[in-house]
Amino acid sequence: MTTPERRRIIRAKKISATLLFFFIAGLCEIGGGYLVWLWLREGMSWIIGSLGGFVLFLYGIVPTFQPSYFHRIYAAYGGIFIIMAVFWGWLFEGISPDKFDIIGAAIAIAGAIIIYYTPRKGEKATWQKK
Amino acid sequence: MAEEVVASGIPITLALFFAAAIAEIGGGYLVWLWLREKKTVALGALGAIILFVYGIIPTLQPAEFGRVYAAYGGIFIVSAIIWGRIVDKKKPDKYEIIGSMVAVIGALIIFYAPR
Repeated sequence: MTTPERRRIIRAKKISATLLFFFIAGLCEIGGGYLVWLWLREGMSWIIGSLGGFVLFLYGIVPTFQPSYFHRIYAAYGGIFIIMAVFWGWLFEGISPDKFDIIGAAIAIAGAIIIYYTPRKGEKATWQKK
Repeated sequence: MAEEVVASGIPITLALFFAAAIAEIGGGYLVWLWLREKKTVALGALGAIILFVYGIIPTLQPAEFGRVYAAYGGIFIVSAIIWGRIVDKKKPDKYEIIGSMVAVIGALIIFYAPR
């Protein structure tokens, strides 16, 4: 029974899942890169560096769960990455985002949404794919 | 922040960002070929090594990061579209082009806004 109500719920779930995958990819990328950084720049053990390499490998796996084309997933991820970079600078480098950071990040997210979530003719929308 | 980078080493920073984007997208693509296109696991393993190399590249950056990373996001988006065009032979559609331009404008605002 696919009532409009039920379709809306399914759509919300699918969109949430794709956003979650973008977010997990960002965490793995930044976290893995940070562990490699600790090894090479902060003189920590190479074990930390290897762990970073493994986390970066996981980062490569996450987008394969996304229901779209490779280039489209990666381009949209770039927009998500921009806002995560702003947050990263805020949390770990103590650079509070100013007006321009917030405006720029919001625009970048809008770009990612246009790339990834716009329904195309002759192609199932992101939330209709398996 | 942005001005210092421009003054100090923008060619090196830019070259490293492009190298990072190629390693990141290329490594991710090999893992993708393994898991989504059912190619051999050897490609996936090679992808893992390239992603590890990708993690090393930023440690060569002369500049502090902060907002420079936002600029990398812009470079990354354009690189992903070019990668699709050249490697996957997928012409970017209207929304990919418009959305990429919008996202790059966001990155430029973060990087170049006068502060």
